Amino acid sequence: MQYVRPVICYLLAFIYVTCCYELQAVRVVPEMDLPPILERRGLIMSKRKNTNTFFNNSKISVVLVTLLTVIMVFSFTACKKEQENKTLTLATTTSVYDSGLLSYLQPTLEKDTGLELKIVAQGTGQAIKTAEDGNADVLLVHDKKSEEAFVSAGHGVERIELMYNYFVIVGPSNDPAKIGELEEKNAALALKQIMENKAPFVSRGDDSGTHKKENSLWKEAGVEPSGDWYISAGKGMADVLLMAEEKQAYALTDKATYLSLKDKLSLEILLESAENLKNQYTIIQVNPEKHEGINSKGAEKFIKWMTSEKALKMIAEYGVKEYGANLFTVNYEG
Amino acid sequence: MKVLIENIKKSYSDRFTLDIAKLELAEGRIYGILGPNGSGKTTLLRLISGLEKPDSGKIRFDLEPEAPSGEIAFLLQDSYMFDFSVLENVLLGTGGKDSAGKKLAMDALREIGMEKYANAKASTLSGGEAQKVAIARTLARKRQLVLLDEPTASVDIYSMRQVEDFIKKFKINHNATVLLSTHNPSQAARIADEVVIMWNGRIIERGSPESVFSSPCREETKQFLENWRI
Amino acid sequence: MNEFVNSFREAFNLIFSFDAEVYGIIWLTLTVTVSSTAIASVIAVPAGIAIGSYDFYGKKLLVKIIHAFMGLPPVVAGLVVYIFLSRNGPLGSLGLIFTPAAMVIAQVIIIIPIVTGLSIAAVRLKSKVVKENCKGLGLGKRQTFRLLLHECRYPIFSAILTGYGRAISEVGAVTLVGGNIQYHTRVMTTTIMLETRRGNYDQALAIGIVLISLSFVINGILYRLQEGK
Repeated sequence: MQYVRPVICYLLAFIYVTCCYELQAVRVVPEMDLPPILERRGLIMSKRKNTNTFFNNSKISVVLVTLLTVIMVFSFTACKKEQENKTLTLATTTSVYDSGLLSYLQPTLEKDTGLELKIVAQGTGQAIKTAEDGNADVLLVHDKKSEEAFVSAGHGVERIELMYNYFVIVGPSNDPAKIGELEEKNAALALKQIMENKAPFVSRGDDSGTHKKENSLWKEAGVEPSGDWYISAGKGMADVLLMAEEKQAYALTDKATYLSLKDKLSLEILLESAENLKNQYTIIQVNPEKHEGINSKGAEKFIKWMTSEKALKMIAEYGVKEYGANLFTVNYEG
Repeated sequence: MKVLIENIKKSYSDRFTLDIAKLELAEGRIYGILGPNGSGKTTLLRLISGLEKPDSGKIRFDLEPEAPSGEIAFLLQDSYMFDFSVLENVLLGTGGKDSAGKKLAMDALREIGMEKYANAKASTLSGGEAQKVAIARTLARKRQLVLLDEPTASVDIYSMRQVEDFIKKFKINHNATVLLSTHNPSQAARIADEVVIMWNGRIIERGSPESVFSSPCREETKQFLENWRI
Repeated sequence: MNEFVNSFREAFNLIFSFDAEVYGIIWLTLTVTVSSTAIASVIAVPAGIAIGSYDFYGKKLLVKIIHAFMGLPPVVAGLVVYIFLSRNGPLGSLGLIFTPAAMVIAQVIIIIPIVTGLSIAAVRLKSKVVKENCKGLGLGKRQTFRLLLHECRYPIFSAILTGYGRAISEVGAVTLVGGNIQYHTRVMTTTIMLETRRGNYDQALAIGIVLISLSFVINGILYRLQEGK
C-alpha cells in the first residue's frame, strides 16, 4: 500500500497539466447567424477551441513554449564559465568508481581543498585516453604497464602508488576445479587448473584493468584459454558476476564489486591474497605542459590531500562498516 | 492587361503538342476557351500563368515578359482548399487579413452565396462548394489578368448563374482580362465576349459567341457544337 | 517478474523522493533533450521543406545523403564531436568537453538528418499543389513557405516528435562527450547504464519507467499545443 499515495499524486499532476490545456479560453469567431443544419453537421468550429485559425489562437501558448525552450537552452550554458581553477576533472576506471570509494571521499575532499571534483568513470583504456587527450587533470587507474607507458610518453608527471587490493577468484561453492585446495596460492596455477577441468569461466573480455590482469595470469600460466567453457562477456564487473552466478562459473573479480553483490550471489571466494592477484592503484597528474587548460594547481592540491594522513586513514577504513572488511590497503610511501 | 502570345509550342510527348501562332488578348474582355478534352485548354492556361515554360515562342504581358506580381490570378482545376476556415481561405486572395481584407472576402463570399459558410472548416465542403469558394478566393481583389480553368465544372445550376454574374461583374469593375476554359458552350454564350475554339493543340477559330455558334467556319467546330443544341 | 513490480514501486519512490540528485538528473534530461530537439528542428524543418518542395541540380544525391545519415550510429557522431571538442582537438579551447553543451551539440548532429529526412517526406506530396495555388493567388515565397508548413504540419510535427524520441533515448554519444559526471552531465539514460553496469537492475528499470513517463508527458503537452494552434 505504500505506493498508493505516489500513484495518486502522479495522476493528479498529469490530469492538472492536461486540463490546463483543455480549458484554454475559447475563441468565438464573430457573430454570424449560422444555419442550424451546419451546426448539426458539426461544421461550425467557432464554439470549440480548435478553430484551426491561421490567425493566432494560442499565440500566448506559443510564446510560453518558446520562452520555456529558450530558458532550457540557456540554463546550462549559463554556468559554463565556472572558475577554471576550482574544478578538477578526475579520470578513473569503472571498478574504482563502483567500489564507492570516491563518493565516500568526495565530500571531505571538496570541503578541505575547495575543489569541485568532476569524476569521469570509464574503462581503463578509455580513462587513459581521456587523460592523454588532456580532458582530465588527474588520473587514477590500476594497470602498471599502461601507466608506465603513459608517463614515459610525457603525458603524466609521475606515478604515485596509493593503495592496493587483491583480485579474487570466485566460483561455485562446490569448487569443481578444486582450486581452493591448491597448495601454493598462485592465481596462474588456479586458472590453469580451471582450464584443465574445463570448468566454466566468465571473463570481462573488455580490455579493462581486470581483464588485463586476467590476461597476464593466463600468460604467466603459459596457456591460452579457448573453448566452450571460456565465456568472454564484454561487460562490466557486476554484469560478469551475475552471469557467472547464473552459469555457476568461475570469475576473476575485485573484492569490492563482489562484496557489493554478495546478497545476489551464491558464488564464494575460492582464492585470494595470492601475490599475483595484487591490484595496485596509482594516481598520476596529467602533464600540464602537454595541453592547455589543465588545472595543475588543482591536481597538486588533490594529490596532496589524497596522500595526506587524513585521507590515507579514510581509505584504509573504507568498507569496514559496510562489509566488515576494508577494501583497500594503503601503500603510499611519502 | 494586354496579353500577346506568339509562336508558342509546348509538347508533353509525341501524343500532344500545343502550337499557337498568335493570340492577342485585350483588356476588359472575357475570353471563353472552348474545346474537347485534351485539346490543350489547360496547357494554354498553364503557360500563360507561368507555371510552365513554353518550348519556344514568347508571351508578353503589356509588352513585358513577366506580369507584375500579384496582378495575375489563376484557378486550377483542383480547387485546392487550405486547411483553414472558408473565410481564411478567401482571405488568402485578398492580400491582407485586416478589416479591409475581411470586407473584400465577405463581399466575394456573398457574391457566390457562401457567406453563411464563412466560419466552416474548408475541408468539410463538398466539391462544388469548394470550387465556389476557390472562385471567390481567386476573384477577391483587383487583378488585371485572371485565368480560370473550368471554374464551374462541379457547380450546380443554381449557383452557376451567381458565379457567372460574379465573373462578369469582376471584369467590369476592374477592367480585367479574363480567360476561362470550359467545355460548355452555353456558358461561353452567356458570359464570353469572345470565344476561342481549340482542337488538338491548335486554335482553330475565334470570334464572338454569336458568330461562331451560329455559323462556325471549321468542320471541327461544327463537330464540337453538334452535340450542344440538345 | 518480481523485478518489474519492484521497479514500479521504485519508480514512484524516485519521483516523490524529493531527492535533489534525482530531480537534477530529470531536469538535465529535460533541458538537454528539449534544447537539442528545438535547435535541430529550427534548422531541419525549414531545410527539409525547402529541399522537398524545390527541384534543383543534385537534389536526388542530397536526399540520398540525408537518408544515409538518418542511419548514422549515434556513438559515431559522439566520437566525432569528442574529437573536435577534446582539448587536443581543434575546438578544444572552448572548454566544452564533458559539459551539457557538448551533449546538446552531439544530439543536434544526430537529430538533424532524421528530422530533415522526415520533413522532406512530409512535404513531398503536397508541395506542388500548394505552390501552384499560392502562385495562382500571387502570394510571395515566404507566405508560400508558411502555408506549406501549415498544410503539412501534422507529418512535420511527427518528424519533430521522432527527433525528440531519438534525443531522449540517446546513451552512447552523450556518455562519450559528457562523461556521465555526477551532478554535471548525468542524464537518465546514462544513469540507467550506470545502474545496469553495477547490477542494480531494479533501479535501472525504475529510472527507465520514469523516463518513459516523462516522454509521455512531454509528448502529451506538445500534442495539446499542436491541436491548439
